[in-house]
Amino acid sequence: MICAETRRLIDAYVDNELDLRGALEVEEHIARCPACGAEERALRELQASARANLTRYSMSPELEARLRALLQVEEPPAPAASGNSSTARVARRALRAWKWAALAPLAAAAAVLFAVGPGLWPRRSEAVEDAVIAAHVRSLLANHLTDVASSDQHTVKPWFQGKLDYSVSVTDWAAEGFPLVGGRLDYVEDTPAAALVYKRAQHVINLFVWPSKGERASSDEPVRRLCRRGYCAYRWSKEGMRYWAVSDVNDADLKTFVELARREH
Amino acid sequence: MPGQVASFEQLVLPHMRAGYNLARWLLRNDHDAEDVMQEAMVRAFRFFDGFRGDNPRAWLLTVVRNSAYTFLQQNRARELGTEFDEEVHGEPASADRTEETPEVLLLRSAQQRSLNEAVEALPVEFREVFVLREMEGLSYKEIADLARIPIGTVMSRLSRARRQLQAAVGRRERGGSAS
Repeated sequence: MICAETRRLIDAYVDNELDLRGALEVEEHIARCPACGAEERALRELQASARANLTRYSMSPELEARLRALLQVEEPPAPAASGNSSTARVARRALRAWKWAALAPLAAAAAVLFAVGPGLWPRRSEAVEDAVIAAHVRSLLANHLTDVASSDQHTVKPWFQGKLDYSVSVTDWAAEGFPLVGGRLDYVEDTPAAALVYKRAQHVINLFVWPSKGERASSDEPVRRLCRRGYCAYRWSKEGMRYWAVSDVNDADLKTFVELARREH
Repeated sequence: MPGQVASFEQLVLPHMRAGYNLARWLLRNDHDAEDVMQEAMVRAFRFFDGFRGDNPRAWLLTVVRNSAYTFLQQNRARELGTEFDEEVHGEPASADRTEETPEVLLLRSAQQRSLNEAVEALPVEFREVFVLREMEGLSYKEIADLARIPIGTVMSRLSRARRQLQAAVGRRERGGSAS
């Protein structure tokens, strides 16, 4: 074996990653080549120094406590049979919170966790949030804002019929400063969703509408506001339908829009 | 579900500290490492259903590593995909350190400090391979799977990282003895 080949394999040799034959060849070369022997010693020294000297960073006790608290919040009730005890009720409530991101006050630990940053709060709706905001961004980027471009609600509403298995009410709020510009078929939570497109000055507002699924179908949810990546969204659900209004318009305007939409939806 | 939580706790939580150490080395400051660690634990819990392997430590390290890269892409994209460059990698990103008692400070030689700093100065793709190998003792194969790179790339990155560290530590030692 020549020096160049040895140098190529020498790291794997000191890491014990060579097969037996390769290791023997390197060993043999090192034994009679002072330069490669010195290289091997230098590598082993670096290795020993790294193992002895590199700082092993440890978590602050606060972080460790927070992470452990997070897991307790997530912990579901033990046996389903003990459904009557208040502990199980608390646990169920905590689990629901984990699943559905109820912002209602929970344990102090959960409050602390939430205070750290909304982006870190574990929740199922995070995926929906991402999907809705992504759909909004896509609609702006891909030159595919509308499938049906019309400010006439009587054109937009029938367009959705036959494309969706639910009906969507469409209102033009041009008089209030939010003209309807059209509608688009989108997908959120693997469900076809109606996207109603409005404008406020140069800003686009997407109002996504789709039917609630699963547990949430039965209960109405009040309006909640979330912001991510510079976009703010308001969501609520009513009578089995979910609504998300997303835009980069200023918050006061979006809020006005949501109030209008709430009256209708 | 109760079984799942128990096994997450049993399998994954013991490796939380190794995960934090990796996050801290990749991000080079406590604040970002804490944020990323929290995000990573949430992801780990959420995706634990999908864990089928026999190496929960490597799995958690993968989740932490991916969270750290996502963070870097969003906040410090400049640090990714770079080659060695003394201008960029000459100095560590931050000066904050874990708490050091006077005894610890006395014990820490200049060599120790300079090795830490030299590792911090490596580009992140090289730093991660070095830290996973020397601090976590992962095999080339495990590192390749974790970082989703070929084993040959693990070898070449590790080798270049070591040469760079030898040069950096040697330079500092020479600089120190000359003054």
